[in-house]
Amino acid sequence: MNEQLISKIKIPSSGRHLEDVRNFIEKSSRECGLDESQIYDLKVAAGEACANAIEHGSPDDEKNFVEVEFFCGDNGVYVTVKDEGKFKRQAMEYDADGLHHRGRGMAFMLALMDEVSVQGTDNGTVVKLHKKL
Amino acid sequence: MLQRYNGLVNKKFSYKIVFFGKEKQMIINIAGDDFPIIEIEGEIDHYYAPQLESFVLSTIKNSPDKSIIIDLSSVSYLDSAGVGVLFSAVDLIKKSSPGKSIVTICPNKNVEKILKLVGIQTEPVFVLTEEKEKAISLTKGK
Repeated sequence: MNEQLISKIKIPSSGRHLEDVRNFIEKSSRECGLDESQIYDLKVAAGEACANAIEHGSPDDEKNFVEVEFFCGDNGVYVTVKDEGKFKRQAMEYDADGLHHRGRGMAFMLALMDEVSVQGTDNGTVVKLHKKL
Repeated sequence: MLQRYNGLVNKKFSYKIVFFGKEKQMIINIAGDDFPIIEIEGEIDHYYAPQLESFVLSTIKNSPDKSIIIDLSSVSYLDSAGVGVLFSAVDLIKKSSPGKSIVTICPNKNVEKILKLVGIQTEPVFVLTEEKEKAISLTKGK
């Protein structure tokens, strides 16, 4: 992995802290030279990953934490979002029938990023977002 | 904020609600007479969306057989939960006010991209425009 860690943030698992994640992504993105449109895409994708982590990956609610890391490399930027819960496939799937207005988070990540991977471990779930520059 | 609508519409009622986040806030201005205008300021994310949804849906319920304007001109960020609010509004207006529309003002290209990503603009009752004046004439015609 030739990407360099630019910065990281750890937030309590609460929606109130989503604005901290957006500020973090914006600041880190500017350090890596992303343009406004790329920054916006990354803020939305990382926000969706964090919202999933808060809603589904935090068995003890605000006692849990969500960690976000920002990497920059020749191939673009990478953002990892790590929670402390068990990955639930259902929570990440796109609700294609349109009857419910939740669960579009994964669809947004896939549409806005060049690559999205989800890895479940014993200690939590890691979502990795890749945006080419 | 709704002063921008002075002279364009009658404002029989007008009030403002502020939801506080950690450091930022989301402000909802609601005004109207012939039809309601909901103007939102701030960032609509998973934290604020449930509160916004409650106000948008109750406004539609309280304004039977009327189209409504949702003004996103001062919204700098919208995520899937925010789009969900608009889809809920579309569903409700179809049921409660047949033939009426949700006219949405969105000049911000990044926010517009998010809206179009999920195809909400293909809903016949959802009308998307960049200009206030156009939104008002579209709403009056509905």
